[in-house]
Amino acid sequence: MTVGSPSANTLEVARGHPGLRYTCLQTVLTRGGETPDFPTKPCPAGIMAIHHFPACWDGKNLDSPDHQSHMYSTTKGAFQEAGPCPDSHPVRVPQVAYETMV
Amino acid sequence: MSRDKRHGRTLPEPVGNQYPKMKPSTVLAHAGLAQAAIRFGCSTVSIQRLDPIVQPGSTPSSHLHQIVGGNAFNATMEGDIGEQATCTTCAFVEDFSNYWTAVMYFKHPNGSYKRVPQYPNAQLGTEGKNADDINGGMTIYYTQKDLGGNGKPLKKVTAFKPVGVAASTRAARLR
Repeated sequence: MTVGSPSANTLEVARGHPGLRYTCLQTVLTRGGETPDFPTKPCPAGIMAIHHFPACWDGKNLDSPDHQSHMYSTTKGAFQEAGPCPDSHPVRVPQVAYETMV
Repeated sequence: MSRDKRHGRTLPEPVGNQYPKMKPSTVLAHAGLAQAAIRFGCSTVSIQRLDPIVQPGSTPSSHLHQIVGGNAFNATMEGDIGEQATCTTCAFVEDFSNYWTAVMYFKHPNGSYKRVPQYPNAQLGTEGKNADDINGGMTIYYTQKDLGGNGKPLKKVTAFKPVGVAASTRAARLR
């Protein structure tokens, strides 16, 4: 599975990919304030890219042509609890997330 | 690769996650806890133009990734990666999965690009200390926070299935 889109070139499109967010790091421990686009001000400790992978699976397909539609994201960002899986993707799988600091 | 023109940086690309092999015991250990999570650091294992999910078999792929995790990373990655790998750059050594992300570049005024290196997260060592043996890479989380949620009872969690492994083979391994 993948999150994000290489063709996202507007803020509106980026908002539609809730699994990919950024945090402007004041220190390496800065958390919160996730944004769908890059920070617009200097970030003393760099930028953290956060990937929240979807946790709902359709129960049938191990992959899909776009590598995303067999999964469903209930993420609200920042590791908040989210709603239940929809009927179309009823199987809960472990939720994977990445934090990448640059 | 799309580009953020305001900053002259490349925008991250979709990120692949090879379906991780999780041991059944790991998943079961979570099931009884209200909020269980694993967090571990992974050093960069390679920076390559390879993408076994979006462009399997393409050497090179059209875009670049930084990769962390096990030593079975390849252009195709078929079968149970957990059975093929023998070591990993992740601190959680029971997991031989690979994880990869886009690579960010800084565009200089003269038009040249320089790769911005990753640096390790804080508190990846024991007892909340920093880990000095993690180089670059990223931090991986497996959480249950997204489960059921909003005060509802936890739902059953199903482990990831390895790609390309017949169900009969999988069942044999689980016995």
